[in-house]
Amino acid sequence: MRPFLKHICYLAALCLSVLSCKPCRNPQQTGCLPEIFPDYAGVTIPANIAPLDFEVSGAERLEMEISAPDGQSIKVRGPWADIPLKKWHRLTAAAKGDSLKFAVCALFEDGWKAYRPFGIYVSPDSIDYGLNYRLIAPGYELYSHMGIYERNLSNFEERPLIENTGFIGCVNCHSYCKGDPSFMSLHIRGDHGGTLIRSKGGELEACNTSTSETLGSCVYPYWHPGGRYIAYSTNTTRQAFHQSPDKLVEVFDLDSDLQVYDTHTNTLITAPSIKREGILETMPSFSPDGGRLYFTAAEHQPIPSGLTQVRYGLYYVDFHDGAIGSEIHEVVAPQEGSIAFPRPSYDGRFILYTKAAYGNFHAWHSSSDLMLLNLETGESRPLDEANSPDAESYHSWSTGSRWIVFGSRRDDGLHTRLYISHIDPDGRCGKPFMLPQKNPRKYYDCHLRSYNVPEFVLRPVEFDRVKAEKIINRPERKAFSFRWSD
Amino acid sequence: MIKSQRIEKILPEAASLLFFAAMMLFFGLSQPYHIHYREQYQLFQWSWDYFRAVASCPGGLADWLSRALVQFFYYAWAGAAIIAAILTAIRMLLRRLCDNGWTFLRSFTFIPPLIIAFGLGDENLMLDAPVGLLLSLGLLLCFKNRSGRTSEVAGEILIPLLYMAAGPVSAVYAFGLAISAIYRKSPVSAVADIVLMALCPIAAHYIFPYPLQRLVQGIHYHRYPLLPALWPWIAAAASLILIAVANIRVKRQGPLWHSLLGLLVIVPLAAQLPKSIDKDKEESMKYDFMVRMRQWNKIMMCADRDMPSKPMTVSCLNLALAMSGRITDHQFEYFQNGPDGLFPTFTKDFTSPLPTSEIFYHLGMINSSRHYTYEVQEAIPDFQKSARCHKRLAECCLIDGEYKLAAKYLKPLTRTIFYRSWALNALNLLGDEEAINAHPEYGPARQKRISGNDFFFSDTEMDSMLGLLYVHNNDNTLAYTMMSSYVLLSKNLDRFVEVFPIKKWERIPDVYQQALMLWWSRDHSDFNDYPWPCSRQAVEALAKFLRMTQNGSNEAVVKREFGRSYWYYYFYRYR
Repeated sequence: MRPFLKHICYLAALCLSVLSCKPCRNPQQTGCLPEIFPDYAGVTIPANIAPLDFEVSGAERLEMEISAPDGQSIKVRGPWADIPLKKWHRLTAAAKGDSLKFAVCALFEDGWKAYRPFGIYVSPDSIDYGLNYRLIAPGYELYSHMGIYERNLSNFEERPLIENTGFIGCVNCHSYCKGDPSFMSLHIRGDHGGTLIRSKGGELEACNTSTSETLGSCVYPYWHPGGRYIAYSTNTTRQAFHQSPDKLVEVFDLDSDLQVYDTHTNTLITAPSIKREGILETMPSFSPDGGRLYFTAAEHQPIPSGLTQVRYGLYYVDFHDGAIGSEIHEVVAPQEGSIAFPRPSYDGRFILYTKAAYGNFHAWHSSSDLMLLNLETGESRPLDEANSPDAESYHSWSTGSRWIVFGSRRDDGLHTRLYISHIDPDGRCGKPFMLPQKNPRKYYDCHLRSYNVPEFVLRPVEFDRVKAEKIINRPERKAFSFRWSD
Repeated sequence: MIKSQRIEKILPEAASLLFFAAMMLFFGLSQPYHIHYREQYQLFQWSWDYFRAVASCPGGLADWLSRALVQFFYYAWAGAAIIAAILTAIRMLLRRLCDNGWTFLRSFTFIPPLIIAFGLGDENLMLDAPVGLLLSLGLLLCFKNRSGRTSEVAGEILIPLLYMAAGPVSAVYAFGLAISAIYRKSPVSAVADIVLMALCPIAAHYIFPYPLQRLVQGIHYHRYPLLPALWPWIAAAASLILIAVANIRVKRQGPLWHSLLGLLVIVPLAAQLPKSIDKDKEESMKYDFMVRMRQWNKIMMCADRDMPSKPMTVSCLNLALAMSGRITDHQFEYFQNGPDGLFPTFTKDFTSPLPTSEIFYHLGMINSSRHYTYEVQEAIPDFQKSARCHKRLAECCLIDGEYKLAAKYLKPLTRTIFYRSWALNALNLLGDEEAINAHPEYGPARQKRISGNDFFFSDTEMDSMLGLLYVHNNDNTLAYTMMSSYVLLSKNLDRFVEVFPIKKWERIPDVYQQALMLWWSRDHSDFNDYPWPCSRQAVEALAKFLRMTQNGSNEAVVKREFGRSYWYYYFYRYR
């Protein structure tokens, strides 16, 4: 075909496609908020977050105007709100401390509908560079494709740090020291099991964390703020499978203890206070000044008959320079529920934890909710602004202590998705927003893996995947030594 | 055209056609269930996102093409035709690449596809390598008889591109170019071809998250990531040898009849093909397929012809007997060897839990069916998803009222050819409680599953779980018969006497009578106070049986008379 005719055809096709997109004219005024996915109406966001793309449920197209207080605005049209990145960041920067206004029209079979505008509050508190998390199918005992991934929170970029395509096994429990990826702990399970540890940006080392004096390999990690110590639990974990339709899996510990790894002396340190017979100590975390080692503990119960009686409370022992205190201090008693994943805020004001009816693997308990303990008043309250009827589970604080990220199964009851909430210095929580994605409906519909263990990171993790795979596939492992605390 | 020229023109095409027909018949007749097996462990979707996800790693295009073809293995003969077509196409390309050589080489071009055909007896050897070989030979043919620096450079540029498209079997193309360059006395070009090829996996190692081993031996050439796809590599090497020899300039190619010389090698080689078939696996796959398709009568007919003896195949038979209401009377007419033949022990692989998940599904143990199906899908070694598993997971979620989750499993199925209409119908059911409750399959499944009285799955307490299912819903007679069967297979007569009265019988099935009489005879010398109806003939038969066993009669003799009874099973099986 002659080039001239070709151009005419392309132009005609373009015109037709533009003309077929009827603009929003004389929409029916609904007077209500649009039903959007994800539900971003009224959320609080940081200025440096990626665009909050969304769709109007059931609509063919939408037209939207986002306005900032200074008069700047963006107009967006399409099958979903595909917000341009740079314009979005200009708008959020302009709206810091104030709100963005979203005026939405949506086209349905019966015509255009206009909705009541909604606001999104832009906090002056910025959020860390990104998140690291594991992506894994929410299965039972087996797993297919999985890995640790890093997401830049300012845009939609996600990159794999390590995946199990490079070795046979699984990765879990990645942990950094207050978001600093130069301090890293990462477990590898399977034939090439071990723990990769990097301290102060040094070389990655593959360690065998199991000793004859401890229960087994180290599990839940938490870095001491000084960067020298890592608190670990050791757990003998089992699963059981429900038959009733409202529950699927039960995960529980038959036994667990705590220890602290000294990266300088390559030694696992423990004490009778955190390694008691008949008591399940687990899920350690350090206070922001490093002076307290928090953990959850429960009395051992016969399994499976006593499973629903296993209730973990929150406790701490003193910690100083490798010495673990002998006195156990109760913080929250296991009276009306069971506590998991205590996470102190870095400003020392709060501890965020989850509470469910029993047990400590709350991802499988739909009753699991986030609780915020005010360390000044000693009172806990449910984070009603963030909780849902389904399971809220693993959570962590941003390094500035103004944002939390947590996993929630509210989307479909099985796949854990990430939500981010703002928490002000007084403990007031903003409405959480789902981790933004481009074309979120399509993304989350096709995404059959769960987000695990979201951790904020201050900057991109320097991680040589090829080198790490070589280390993992080699048999050499650095053995830990063991001692009792002074 | 003179006759010999006409024959020379027709003979290769006729040979190829014959080869195609032979291969199609071979695969279609000898291993149709291997073909079905391949289809069920993938979920090919007609979408741009799927293409991008599959094609974006080395060998991706060959992988995508292979999966696109395997989706048609939904029908065994279509699969056989596709495999035959690939093998024939490889042969035809080789034939053209060897045109310039000696005539006798032409029949040797059947050797590489025959080697691949042999390799395809391994159900986990993927079609990626043969498709990749096809792409490589096709591209090599484009450069046949071309010379000149421009052509050499163009050929070299295509080496990494073909590596990305076809994977490491594209070495055939690179080495083929090198051979051609050597014959053209262009050693520099030959070295460049080989070096470029060697650099491809090394460079890929730093870009893609795969170890060097997989990038060298093919990421998706074998379903198990670290196992090499040996046979296609042998076929590739054989192809290269043929091409190398064919490139030798000959003054005279030889008469036409020389092309039949290769038959001396090919015929014995082809005769080895039946050895590539694992008949035990084919049988297991057949039973699994029949369970999947609910061909209960066909299962029993197959068992009548050739009695299954492995736990997996016996469990399929037992399910068929139970679903057709024949298990109580006829179970012990077939080989039984313990409760593993009813509920095979769970193993962490991607094949054996699948029929067991079907059993649980029909029983109304929806959580367990979902559990086993999910594990199968997660165990698939090459991380593919399974259309069959997605379908079952969608059904389980639909039955449990988890509609959002069900939709997530259904939407990918709407992007397939063979599951699309089923998935669209299922999507229409979501949220429609009335329609689901009235559905002939999902409605009863909802009624059967345990609700309110939760318990944990325990594979050592199957009888208790099944009893609870039956007590929860007395219409779930399958649960009762499986429970009784489990207890009888375990030889737990005391337990059988406990559970048997849960259901009221108008006429006690023969097998149950035999079990009850055996239990009674352990502690009683006669049947005077026997609490259940029994005939004098039955009492006499038991007495005769016990006499024979106590007298040490030969098992074969006992089997002849009592082989179809529970008594025989109790004394001679599952020791």
